[in-house]
Amino acid sequence: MRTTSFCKAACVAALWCCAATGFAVAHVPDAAPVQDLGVSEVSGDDGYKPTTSANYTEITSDAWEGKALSAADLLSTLPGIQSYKQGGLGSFQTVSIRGIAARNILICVDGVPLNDASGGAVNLGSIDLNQMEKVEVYKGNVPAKFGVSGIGGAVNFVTKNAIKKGGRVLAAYGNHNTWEGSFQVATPVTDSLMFASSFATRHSDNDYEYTNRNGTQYIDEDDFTATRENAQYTDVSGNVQFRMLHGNGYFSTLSVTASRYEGGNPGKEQQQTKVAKFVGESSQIRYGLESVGYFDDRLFLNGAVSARFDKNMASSYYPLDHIGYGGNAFMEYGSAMFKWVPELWIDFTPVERLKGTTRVAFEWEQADARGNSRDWSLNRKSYVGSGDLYYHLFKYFGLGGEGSAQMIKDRLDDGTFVQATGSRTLQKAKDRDASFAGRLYSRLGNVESPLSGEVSIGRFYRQPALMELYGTFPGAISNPDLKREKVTRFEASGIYKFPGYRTSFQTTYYESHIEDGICWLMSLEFLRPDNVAHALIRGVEMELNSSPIKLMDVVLRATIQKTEDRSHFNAFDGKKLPGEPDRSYFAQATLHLPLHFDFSWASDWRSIMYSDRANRTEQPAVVTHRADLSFSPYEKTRLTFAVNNITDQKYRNFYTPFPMPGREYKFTIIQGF
Amino acid sequence: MNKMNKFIAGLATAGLAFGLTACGDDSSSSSVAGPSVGDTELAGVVFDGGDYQVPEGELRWIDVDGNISEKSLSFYQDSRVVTNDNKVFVLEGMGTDNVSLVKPELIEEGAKKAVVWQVKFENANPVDMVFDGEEAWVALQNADSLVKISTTDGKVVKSVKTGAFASKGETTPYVTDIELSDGKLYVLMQRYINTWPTVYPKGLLAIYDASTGALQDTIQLATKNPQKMAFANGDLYVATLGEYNENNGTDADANRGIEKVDIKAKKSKLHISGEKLGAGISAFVADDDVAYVGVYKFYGSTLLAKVDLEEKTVTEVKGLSDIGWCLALKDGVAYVGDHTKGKETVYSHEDDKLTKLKQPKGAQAPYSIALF
Repeated sequence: MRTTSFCKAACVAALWCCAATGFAVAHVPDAAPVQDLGVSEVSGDDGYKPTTSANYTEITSDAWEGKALSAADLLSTLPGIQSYKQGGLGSFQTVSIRGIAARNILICVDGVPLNDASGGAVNLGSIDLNQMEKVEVYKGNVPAKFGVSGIGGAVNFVTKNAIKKGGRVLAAYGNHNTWEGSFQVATPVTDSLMFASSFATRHSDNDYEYTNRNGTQYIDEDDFTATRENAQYTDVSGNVQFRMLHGNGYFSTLSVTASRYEGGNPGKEQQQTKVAKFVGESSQIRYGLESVGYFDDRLFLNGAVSARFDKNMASSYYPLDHIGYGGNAFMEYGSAMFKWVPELWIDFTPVERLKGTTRVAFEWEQADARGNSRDWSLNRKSYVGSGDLYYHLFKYFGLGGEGSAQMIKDRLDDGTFVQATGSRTLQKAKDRDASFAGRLYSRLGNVESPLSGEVSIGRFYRQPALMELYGTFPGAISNPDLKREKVTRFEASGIYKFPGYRTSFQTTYYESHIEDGICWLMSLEFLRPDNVAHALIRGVEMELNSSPIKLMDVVLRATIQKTEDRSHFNAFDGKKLPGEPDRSYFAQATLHLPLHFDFSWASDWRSIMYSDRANRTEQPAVVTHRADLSFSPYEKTRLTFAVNNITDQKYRNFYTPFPMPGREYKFTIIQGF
Repeated sequence: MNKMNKFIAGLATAGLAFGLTACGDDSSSSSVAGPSVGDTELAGVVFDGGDYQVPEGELRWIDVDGNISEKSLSFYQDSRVVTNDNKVFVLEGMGTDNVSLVKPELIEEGAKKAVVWQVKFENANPVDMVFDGEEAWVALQNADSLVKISTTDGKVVKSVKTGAFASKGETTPYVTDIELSDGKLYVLMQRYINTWPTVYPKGLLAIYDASTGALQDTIQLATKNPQKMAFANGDLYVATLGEYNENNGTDADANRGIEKVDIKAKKSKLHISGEKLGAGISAFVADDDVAYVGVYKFYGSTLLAKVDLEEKTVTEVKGLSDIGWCLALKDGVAYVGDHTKGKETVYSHEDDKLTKLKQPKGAQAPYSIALF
């Protein structure tokens, strides 16, 4: 069995970083001052932020720092987004956007996709928000800079960057021995070179109490109170970035990130494990170059090269854990994935009121076996061309379009891949058709006008992931004949900014027709993916964002939707999509009190929903509340005490028995410098 | 006999087994049906399993008119159902590991009332039960033992270790079926090795004294991956699936099929090979010389065939495409569940005629059937 050492990967990444930095420094013709492009401060909420787009939201660190929110919690405060969690800190967490399931959401860190060859949803539980500067949420589309392909929108986590001098230290402690620490610094090295580095770590014992029903739903006498075991989680992540202004006005940015997480896999409530665990390691290096503007700033050239390595392992020991089959060997399974993405893109404004972006990218992805599995190796080359073009025809009206073309070439190492039923040999991977995606949109109004809006219609796709096609999960068999998943989406949104009232209201109607969605179906004892899911999603999002007085900010959000399975399976047809409630509401009020205190209260409510396609696993309607009180005695110091899930909601359906942590407390201190 | 009478007649013997009288208009079917739900007599129960994303399965029941119930009780996905006298036992599989006793006469009042007891066999994966008076042997696929329980309260009254038959590296011999005959307990073991991918050595049949639990004999099977066994005309037959091929299916060859066990000679040999059957066997039920088998061709294609065990003839029952393990037989009438998309329901097969039972809207695909 091949192995890849995390240390080796990190060292190689660091060497790349140093070498590239040295190269960059050596080739600076004329030093120039570093531009100050602005960065979020360590202060509290800065008040009213008018909405500019109903399909794009930028969340800054004010929204999460000190508030005991995971990435999934944070995203699900937005209308149209639902979250799913399997436990406390570090547990598996995902989000869906406008009814589109989590595995179809493109999740990126600094523009590099985390979605991998497995085809599964990206686990947001391992993303440490303390490393992030902001989160970009694209609900209606995947923008051209990320390739347009993908059917459920995109979320891009942007790490703290080397733009403005300064830094901060954060320390937090909460119940269940949950602690967080992070450190960021950004400082100029020379007049033209900025350096930034960050380090963050989190831990939780996740040893909360819960009622264990002992797996017998109809017998209450054997229920007992238990403490969650083997659920501890720890992660560590670091980032180093150099940003250089070259003499010709070009910017170079070189960043290296590395992270490691490790946690127990506690199992379901009736199946408490002892030693089962998961470990993930990743490193990423990215070099980007941004040009000066040519032709009176009508043309900007950009390029980047990214390399990412991920290794994810899960292990269990049957005699102790009773996960899987009855073997008495230590079982370890997982994969190592390497991704290399060179890309070039051009931002252009050839004539006034016409602007666009063109991007070409090559993506090489390699996935290899790790653990006890027989060796397998898969790789995929993707050639992607994408672009968007927008023409502001009139003062209050413009037309735009975006599209992409993608060619894929898969390769099986030695033509063999592993199945639960045995190895299978194909002479070569199946040829896959080129895919074309596109969206047309028109915009009404402009930045200054109180009323603006956008209407769009698009056709998107997602190619099956390598491991859906060719292997290699225990107990599962793959399906090389899988087709692309497709969706036709229509969106119409409007924003009204109440002049002089520091208030805006936005609403969006969305409709998606999903075809050939991939589901894992069981026959005999095997799982296999198949293109059987068809669905219709219709919904309306609303958001009121107001700061009627300087002392108070209010956000009200609502999602009303209808999701409908149209797969023609007797058990599923006409049912609601899993994890999608008909209604959900969110309300948050922040008071900026005297003596540098801020108080925030947030409540959310969602209607009944189901965890499964047959709508049997009911999750009743629930309301949750959270509050936090911040005190900023000095300009760069903030102390926050937060309480999450105040009413201690812990309900879980008998058939989704992942105990939840209930009420959580957290104290945070942030010191800027 | 009209269509309905045939159907009732088909169930009559099942009913006779429980000594109930009943509702036929023909003297030939004067004793019919099983236990009753209110005024409705039950013919069978069907357990519906779902797909991977549906953790919750449902127990439904069929009345003597062939109607599948609108109501259902919740149990874990892909559980198995076993009947004895007027009792229904539900075996929830790996990860849940419960055996539950359900009283049919209370079934419409909800599970809290209908479930008399529910006993957990920690991480044991119960897969089958056979009855010995007021007690029952339970096959535990993921445990290193068999247990005998009281059907009155579910308490274990005896335990027999089977771990010695586990293949090297395994803790369990993976018992897949048990039968009780003439005071002997026949235990069918797959003995696979759970590497990735799975390795299948030849299967093993172990014979125990049903009252004491003492091991009496073992018989090596001729082929691999046994699934089910059944007595017919006093002979013991074992159906095997064999190893999988590269297309995740099984081949039509002599490495699988229906074995006939010569208990006295302690030998088992292939009686009807996979060449004749068309592939390996997933489901197998037999009564007299008639057997019904699920012929597993490849993923999503398990066909139904009727087999004459004496004549060794195989006749495919057309019209079904994915029956999985879902098969039951009583006195010449077979009940079979089909998973085919949009056609998920239960069928009966009698006198070469396939009859479709109406599946209520929203019901899941059938997974396991038992008849009264």
